[in-house]
Amino acid sequence: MAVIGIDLGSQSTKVVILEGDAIVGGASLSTGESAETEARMAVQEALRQTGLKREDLKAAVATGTLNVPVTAAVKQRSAASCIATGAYFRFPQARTVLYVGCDSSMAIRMSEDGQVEDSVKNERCAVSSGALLDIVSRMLEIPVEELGPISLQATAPERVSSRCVVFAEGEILSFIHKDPPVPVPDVLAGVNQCIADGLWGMVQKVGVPSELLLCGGLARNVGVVKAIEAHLGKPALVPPQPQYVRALGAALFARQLQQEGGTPC
Amino acid sequence: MLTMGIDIGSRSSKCVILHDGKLLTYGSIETGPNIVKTAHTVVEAAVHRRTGLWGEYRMPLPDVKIDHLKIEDMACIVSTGYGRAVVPFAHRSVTEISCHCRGAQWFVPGVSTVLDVGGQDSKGIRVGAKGEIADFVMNDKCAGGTGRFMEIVAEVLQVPLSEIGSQSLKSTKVLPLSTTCAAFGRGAAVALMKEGERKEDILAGLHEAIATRVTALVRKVGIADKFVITGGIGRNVGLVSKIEQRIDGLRVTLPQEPMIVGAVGAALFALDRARMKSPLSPPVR
Repeated sequence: MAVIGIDLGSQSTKVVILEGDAIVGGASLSTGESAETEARMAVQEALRQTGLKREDLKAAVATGTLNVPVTAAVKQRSAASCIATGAYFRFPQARTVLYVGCDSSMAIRMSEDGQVEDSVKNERCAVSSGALLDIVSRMLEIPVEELGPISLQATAPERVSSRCVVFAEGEILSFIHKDPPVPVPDVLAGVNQCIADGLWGMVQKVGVPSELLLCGGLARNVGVVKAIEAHLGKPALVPPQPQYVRALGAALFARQLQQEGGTPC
Repeated sequence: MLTMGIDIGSRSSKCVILHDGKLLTYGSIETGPNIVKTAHTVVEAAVHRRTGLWGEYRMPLPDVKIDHLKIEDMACIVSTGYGRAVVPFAHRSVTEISCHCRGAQWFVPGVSTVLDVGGQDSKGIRVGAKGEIADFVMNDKCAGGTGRFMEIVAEVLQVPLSEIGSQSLKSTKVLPLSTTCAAFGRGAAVALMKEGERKEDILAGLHEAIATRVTALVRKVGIADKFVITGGIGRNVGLVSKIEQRIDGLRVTLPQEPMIVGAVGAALFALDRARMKSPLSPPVR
């Protein structure tokens, strides 16, 4: 019995196909002008990987930062509950989840059985999100995936004092144009620190009763993960392919719907 | 006696020269990466009467020969603004808050509230009965509600900064834009452009967002009559009208040249200091 979770992020649309407890397919596409088109394409791509047909999908749930209904047949679940559900499935021992996407982020505290107890979002400010990494990646012309490993080579991280993405952009530009320029790893380590400091404030608001799980696209950046771990004082839990956690949570909701005898999509 | 005020802002630099407290000349340039060089260049701009940033002069200037003036001719020079500590030839530096408070009173006697929105910060100042600073608030941590936000959106829309205000007045509907974060505002503006929305409507949304933000800021110190707006936004008719809609029937008083208010304040502080030191100044009784 296959079900699907669809996650409409601000930058990419992700889908996960679940059969029982096994993730059998997943796809991620850049979100363009029409969220619905990307969602359909991502579903097709995931289906192609699994060899399943559309009729084989017995239930679908959508979630994400973009508040657009994909199709009437698809049920919606809140981003917070999908993140918590996906995180709990990966690591039931985690009580706090920090999800960081391209321009949204969320810290969630869960009960022992994975229910959302408290959550905070970064609706008002881009500093606690992946936005700065995106800017830096464009500025330095380094692919986002390479930023983390390069930042680990830092010897003297350059402190970014701005607490605003826009001002930080100017500050980072001045590091690069210094004579001599600040080495790229030191710039990146400073950026990671700046992002981690902002995120840590959110984590503290919900509290960390036991383990902290990091997910969302930013959790793929090993430098940011290390900077958050420095605040935490111990290693954080990072699931494989952390960017799919929210879509996974949606797929788990779909499985639940299907078990309760929900409508096929 | 000649005194000079030099205001090195985050985006633009202004220089004012007073002759015995009367405006002799002023000039403006964009702030470059090298502050020391910028400081020298803006003095040149004032001496040769150039306002690279704004086109024509709005204030009458005396028709006297001034292009021979040098830094050494000044009895005193006071610097202010974001780069004030780096001006090598300044005799002292004074904060922007003090200079805007002082300058606003020179332009508008009896001013009670000042809102200054510059390139990278915004501040509200409450002026006391004796012209002292009674209270102030400042936002320099976040680009929302600053000129930088307007620059970012103007860049996305490819509309010159000097035209965004008048264009926004042509809008027929106000499109909502993030009121807080300029980074989100950029994304929103790009998305609205893609959806085929009109530039003037996006600009109206931008002005609405900035007006909401800066009015909330200045409300913290209290808005009363006479309410003066200084800095770059004083030249933006769209924003001034949006702010006026939010201040309970009060009117905004605009200085003739809102961008030089801080520099005028600095030049007046320089005059105080020069008179204190000069043997020609009247003896203190």
